Order: sequence, then structure tokens, then C-alpha cells
Amino acid sequence: MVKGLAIGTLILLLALSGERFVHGVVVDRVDRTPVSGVVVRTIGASYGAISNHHGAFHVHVPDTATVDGRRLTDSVCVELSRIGYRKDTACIPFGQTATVTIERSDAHTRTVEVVGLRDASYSTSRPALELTAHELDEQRGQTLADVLEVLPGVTALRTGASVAKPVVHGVTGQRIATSTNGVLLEGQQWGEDHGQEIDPFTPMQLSVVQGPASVYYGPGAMGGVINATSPPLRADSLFHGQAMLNLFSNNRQGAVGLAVEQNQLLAVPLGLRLFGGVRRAADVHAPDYALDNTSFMQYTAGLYSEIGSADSGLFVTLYGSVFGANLGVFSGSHLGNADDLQRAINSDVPLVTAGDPYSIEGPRQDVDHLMFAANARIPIGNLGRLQLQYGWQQNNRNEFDRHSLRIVGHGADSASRHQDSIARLAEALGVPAMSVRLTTYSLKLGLEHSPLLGMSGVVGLDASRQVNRRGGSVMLIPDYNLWGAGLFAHESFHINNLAVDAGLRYDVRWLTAYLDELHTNSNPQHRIYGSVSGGLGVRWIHSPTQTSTINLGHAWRQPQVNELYSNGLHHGAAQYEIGDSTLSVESVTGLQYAFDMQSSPFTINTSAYVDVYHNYIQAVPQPNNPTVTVRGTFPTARYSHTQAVIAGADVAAQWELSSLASLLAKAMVVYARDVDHDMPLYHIPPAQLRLALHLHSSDVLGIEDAFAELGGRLVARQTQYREGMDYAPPPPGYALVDLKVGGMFTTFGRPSTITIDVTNALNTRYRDVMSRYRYFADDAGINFIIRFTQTLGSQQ
Amino acid sequence: MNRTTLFLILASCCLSLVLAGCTESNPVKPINGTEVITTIQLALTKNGADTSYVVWEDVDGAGGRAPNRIDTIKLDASTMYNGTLKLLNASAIPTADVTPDIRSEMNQHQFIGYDEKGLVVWAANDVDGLGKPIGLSFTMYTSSTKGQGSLTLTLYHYDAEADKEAGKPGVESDISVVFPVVVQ
Repeated sequence: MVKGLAIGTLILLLALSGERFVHGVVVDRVDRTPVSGVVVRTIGASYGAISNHHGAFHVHVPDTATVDGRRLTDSVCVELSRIGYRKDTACIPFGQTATVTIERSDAHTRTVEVVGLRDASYSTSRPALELTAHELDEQRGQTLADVLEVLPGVTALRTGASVAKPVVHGVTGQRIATSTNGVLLEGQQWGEDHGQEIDPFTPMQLSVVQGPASVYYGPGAMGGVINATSPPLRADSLFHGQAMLNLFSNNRQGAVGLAVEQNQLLAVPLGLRLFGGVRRAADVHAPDYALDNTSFMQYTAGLYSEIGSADSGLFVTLYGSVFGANLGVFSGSHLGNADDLQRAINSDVPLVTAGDPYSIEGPRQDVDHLMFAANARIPIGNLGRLQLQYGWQQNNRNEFDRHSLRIVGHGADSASRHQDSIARLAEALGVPAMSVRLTTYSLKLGLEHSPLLGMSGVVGLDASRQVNRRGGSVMLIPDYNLWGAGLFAHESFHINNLAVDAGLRYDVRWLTAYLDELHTNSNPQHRIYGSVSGGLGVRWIHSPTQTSTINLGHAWRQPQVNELYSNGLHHGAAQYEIGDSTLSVESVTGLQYAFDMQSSPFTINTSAYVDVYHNYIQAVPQPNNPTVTVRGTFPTARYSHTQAVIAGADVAAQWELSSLASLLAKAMVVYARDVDHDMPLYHIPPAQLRLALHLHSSDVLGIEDAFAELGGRLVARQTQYREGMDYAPPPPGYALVDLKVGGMFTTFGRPSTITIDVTNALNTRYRDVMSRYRYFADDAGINFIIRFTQTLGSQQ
Repeated sequence: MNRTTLFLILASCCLSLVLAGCTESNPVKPINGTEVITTIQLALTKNGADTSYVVWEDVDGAGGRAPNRIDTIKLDASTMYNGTLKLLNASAIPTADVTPDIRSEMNQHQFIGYDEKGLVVWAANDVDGLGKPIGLSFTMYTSSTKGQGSLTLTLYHYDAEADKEAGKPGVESDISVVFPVVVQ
């Protein structure tokens, strides 16, 4: 904190000294889309910057700077480098904004005249929202959703510090897809308190893909695809690595991560990256109390390998990872019945006081996820390039209850029955109340064809098989087998200053569910779902600094198994949820408009969308038909269809006040309506605004790329609410202040970065409507976060 | 390194993973017919002699069909009744008596009964190992007013013995049933 203030003061002092700057935007040489994460360094002098996700960079050069003993007068030459791109240089006059191009290292078949091959995941209609390497480092938090929240229009649905599900354009869960190295992540995503099985320490490039390009991943990306891919290995034969340490004061969390890589092993084109990370956290602290049993432990480990050369011939990548988590569930949120729930809501403070901060007891979730992805690409003559993708993953989810069901002892007399009962109880407590194992196989075959009539793109087919097996005493979802098959095509072309792309796919899903608990049912339930998805996108490049994009899209998903067959109690919500096996597919037709501008000193990205859902599936409360049980009377909800509309707008803007200071703003609103019942939808993020003053300097006392940021987050009360639609009305709006300082310096002759972040700096008491614990407890109080990254190995 | 070698590497990697023993079946076996309480039986004795029984029963357990039997408690006005409570699992064969199990965890459990209308005043008259009420044995006093009401009987669970206090609800309810009451 003190150090942070010192850095801030120094930056202000520096603002008074003489400095010149060059501005630029890095774009892909072939498709002219901005390229983020490009390291821009002055040749002969050590001033630099990294391009942001609009491709923009600003290099500050002091008046006194010299190159080869010569003072710079009117221009400066820079070197551009980025993983996956060829190194390049450009000379830029001072005070001007230059557009510089950079070429992909695998763009051997491309020429400047013809729009050639590009990654199938690439959307020409609007660049995917992408996080820069810097943003990843700065935001790396406790969950993947914490990182994604930096992007405009993205928020999170949280269950404590350890579980967060990203919410994109007002939808979450099964309405968005997550892809890791091309394979869709398949966990038990139907649960609101089930997080994504990816640790933030996994080395990755992160983006959100929307528009026609999402057909490459599947039919169900209604809100978008969260695309996490392994960064390509460095081409040289040297050892590279990164060690990371994160500390969080609020829940006394410590986290360490390591990634090492080397290419050209055994003097052949074989590269390997190994990575791992572990984190351990105690209970979350609200300003006035701790939340009992919100502690957790999480780990990840994996490898990524490249075989062959990305430039020619066969190129194979292999990815394998293991993720494990043992998450405590806030004991104040685990309830017996609706009366308990009401008592917990009516109390201002949690009814359970926190015990040992690090202990993880029932109720808890024990989750592990194994993943393997293999990708192979091979050029086939003049046709283009063939890609083959195989994925295997297994998700094990075990949920343990707070106290187990009573168990009757057996024996001749009362005393021996009692002893037997205790023994059986101890045994039962070690066994999960709910256990589900989900295994998914996937296969994709695609052809990235050579330009044909001016069009380039990818066509292909994919297939998947999924098997769910349950154990334990609680049956929320049945055993099932799900087969899927799809055909897809995504094509794009340019006409003058218009970029057009279109995607189309057709999918079929075959579901067989075994409702009998003992899996002996001779009469399994069969369901078949099939439909078309796709979209059309047009990007109009008004000028090199302004573009407009229109996307029209259609997507669908089959009803999930819980929506079809659930028939049980959700402890967290103290509610019975009853499925409907006759539900049909849900679909959405959406229109999105985006305007992007990068014109010094302003960078503005805005978008607005309207999504019309047909047969939107949701759990509708049945106030006149509650479930009466020996444990009390429970509110009951039944899954059913409705027509729904979700519309919204988001904006992200940056105003460069000077070469040192800029103002940042990010805002979003979402409107959501259940048309049939004329009422709002559930879990919709309220209107919010983030404002920040960002100070940045290339050099402060040997700290490079030093920055300080003072930010505020304003969240309105969710006014889309009808009396009685939820257990408690939405909490009031709130304002939070955060502060962040950081920079790069050299330790052991290698660069390292450190950021110190203070979130909820004023220790404000608040409850966020998107937090599942908000009925019972305040959200987290002040949190000091230290993130330290040390580069290892060779610096070339 | 030729393509054949590369394919071999890829194939062996895939194979080793398949052979790693990751089966599709779940190592945790489904547990069926776990201990459930289906039936609450009250024995009410007037004047130490005249005993009547009332039953609340949901024989298929929580969810599914609605409770199959909810008797009405019929009481005389201005009378004291001694009662005992019995918990059964009628889904087991033969029907299992779960009451001793509650008694074995009596320091962490408490029954509380109440009638919103005040026609019946309910009070536990047994104590656990620490001298706090359990409620498996109780007394009920009826008012002089006649009318219809309801008796809510709740079994609270306490995580720690220290959390249990006489007449204070716990965080989690194990049982909560409502009997219609007629005072005549």
C-alpha cells in the first residue's frame, strides 16, 4: 500500500518532465484485425509497450533518449514481437498515430492480395473480445470468471470466493459454452453453484467468441463461447518459464503456479510445456464477520506439447490437464426447509458463526476434472489444410452433506444397535451424498479450404459421446448416455471495406436416460433433438479508426437432463425442483450491433443486442402447489417453457488525458423479460458502471511499465423485480473503490512483474444480487492482493 | 522425424490415456433406501388412562406423492395430556423404529411444538444428558376456548451441543410436520 502510493507520486512527478510519444495500432497484415499482446520495443533503447486488445500501443520516449549516441529528433524505430507472429520493425514519427502490420508465423500460404487461411476460430465480423497477456496477469484471481469480468458485457454469478460462473449478455450456465484447446468443457454445468473446471494458473489465451464464428464450437453458444487456448510454444530451443505467487488477504489465500517450456527437444521439432498450480484459502470475511466453511483448496497440473512445425507439414498439439478442487459450502446457506430459509434470511447476520478458518467440512464439493485434447493439422495439396481433433474428458463431482441421514443400527440389544448406528454413520459421512461421473468423448474433422471464389473458411463435422453415472443417496440427475453429431461451415470474404462472414450448422442429439435408481430399468427414456444454428455478420470499416458490425444469429440447445428429470431438493435454495420430460429445444434469435472506434485520444467500443428466446427453459415457482414432506413444506418449482427477451448494451471507453494518464469507463445494462408471464427473468445482472483513472509510465526508478489505477464500481439496485418472485427483494445498489499499482523490474537478471491490488478498499458492507449467498451474508470486505510473476530461463 | 513416427507418438499417447483405467462407471455406488422417517406417531394420554394415537405419514418419502395420512388431533378443552412421540420408517420391511436413533443423538436435537392460535400449549418434559429438553416426551394443555388450530412439530438439529438451548430453533430442521387440531 505504502509502496503503491510512492509509485503513484513518482508517476505524477514524472508527468512534469519532458516526454514524447509514438502511438500506433497493430493489425494483422492479412485480415487487418487488431492484434493484442504485441511487445513493442524501441530499437537501440529500452522503451516499450504492449498493445491492448484493440491493438493500440503508446510508447513514451524521454527527450533525453539516445540511440547509438544520437538523440532522436523526428521518429523512432520499434521492433514488434508476439508469439505466433513473425518479428517485424517499423519506424514511426513522433506525435502521430501509425497503423503497423504484423504477419502470423503460420501465414505461409497467405499473400497480401488474397485473404488466405486463418484460424477457424477467427471471426471477421468482429474481433473476438480478447484478454491481453497483461490483463491476464493483472486480473488473475481466484476463478476464471474473475479474469473474464474485465471484458465489456461480462459479469459473474458467484457462490462465495471459489465458484463463479461467467454471465455473458445476461445468460450463463448451459447458455454459454467454454472451449479449451478446441474441446468443449463438459462438467455438471446445470448447477448454479458449479464452477468452471479451469484454474486461472493454466497458461492460456482467453477470448469470448460471438457471432457466426461460434458455429465452429457447437450449436448452443447462445451468449458466446469462452475460448481458452494454450499459447503457442516459443520457437527457439531455449528453456523458458514463469513462476507465479498470488496472495489474498481477505480469505488468507496463498497460491503458487509454475509453467516451464522448451522447444526443439532432442533436436527435433518437439516442444513441451509443463504447468501446475495450487491454492489454499480460508473463510471469506465480510466486513463484520467471517462466512463459516467458505474455505477451499484447488490444484491444477498439465502439459502441452507441439510436434512438427506450424509452418509446414503435419503439426500436432497435445494437451492434458488435471483439475481438482475441494470447496466448502457456506454452512449458513445449507438449510433443512423453507422455515429455516426464512429464519436465515430474516437474520441480519449469519446464524452460523465461523469456526476454524481453514477447515473444509460438509457441506462441501469435491470436484476433479481430467482433460485430454489432441489436435492435428496437415496441408493437403491445393485443397487447404485438414484438421483433426480428439477430446476426452472426465468430470467427477462428489457433494457431501452437512450431517448425514440417520442410520438404523442392527444388533440384539439397544446398546449394540447404538454402536452399530454410530459406526454406520461414520462410514456414511465419508461417502458423498451425491456423486456424478461424466465422461465425454469428442471428435472433429475440419477442412480449412484454400480461397474459393474469394471466400475462405472451414467446413467440417463433429461427433460426441457422453456418459453420466451417478452414485450416493441423492439423485438430482439420472444416469444417461448422450450422442451428438453435427455438420458445420464458416465462410468469410471481403468486398472493398466490408467484411462478411456466415456460419451454418446442423446438429442432432440422441439422449437415453435411465430413471431407475438401481439402473435396472428395462424401459429407458429415449429423446432425439435436432436443429439448425448459424449466423451472418457484416463489418463495415468506415475508416482505419472506425468500424460498425452487425451480427444476426440463431442458436439452440437441447433441454438438459436436470430440466427433464430432476425431482429433488436443492438444499441451498430449500426448494423442490421438478423436471418435465416433454420439454423441447430452446432457441434464440439475436441481433447485435457494435461500433468500435480508435482515434486518439479516444478508444470506444460499444455494442447493443436484442435476443429473442423461443421456449426459454426456466424453473417456474408453484406457490399453490408446494411439496409437503416430513421435513416441512417446501416451495416447489417446475421446469417449463416460456418466451423471453433479453436486450442490453455495453460500452468500454478510454480517454488518454496525456501520455501518462487516461480515464477508463465500462458500463452495461441488461433488460430481461419473461413475456408469457409478463415478469422479469431470474439472475440478470443489474446496471453497472466502472470508472478508473489510470496512470502509466515506462520507467519509475527502474520499475518499467509502472502503473497506478484508482477505480470505482457502481452497481444499481436490480429494479427488474416483481414482489414475491424471489425469497428476498434485490439488495440495494452499492459503490466500491479499488486501487491498484504495479510494474516490471529485474530480479536475477530476468524480468518480473508485481501488482498490488486493494479491492473494496473502504471495506463497504454490500450484497450483490448475483451472489448466491446474498440472502444470508454480506459480500467480501477489503482484500489486499499481491500478484508476483518471475520469468525464468532464457531471455531471448 | 517422419510422419509415421509422429503418428505413433500421437497414437501411443491416446492409447496410454485410455489404458489409464478411467472407466465410465462411478466408483461411488448408488445408495438406495437409506434411512428415512416416513411416520410420526403421537400417543396422547388423558388423565393417565385414556390413550389415543394420531399419525402423520408420507410412506413414499419426501417428494413424489403427497403424505398419505395426516390425522387430526382431537382434544378436550381445559385438559392436560401426556404425550410420547415415535418416529418410524414404514418404507423399510419390517417397519423400523427410528426413535432410539434420535435419542442416541439427543444432545444435538430438540423437538419444539407450537400452535399459532394458542389453543394448545406444548412443553417438553424429558431432558438430555446436559439437562436440556428433548421433546420425545411432552405435555399439552388445552385452552378453555374451543376451535380449530394446528400443531407444528419441528425437530431441530444443532451442529454442536453448545448451540442447543431450550426452546430455541436450530439452523436446520430434520423434521417439521403440521397436525390439524380441534379443541372441543
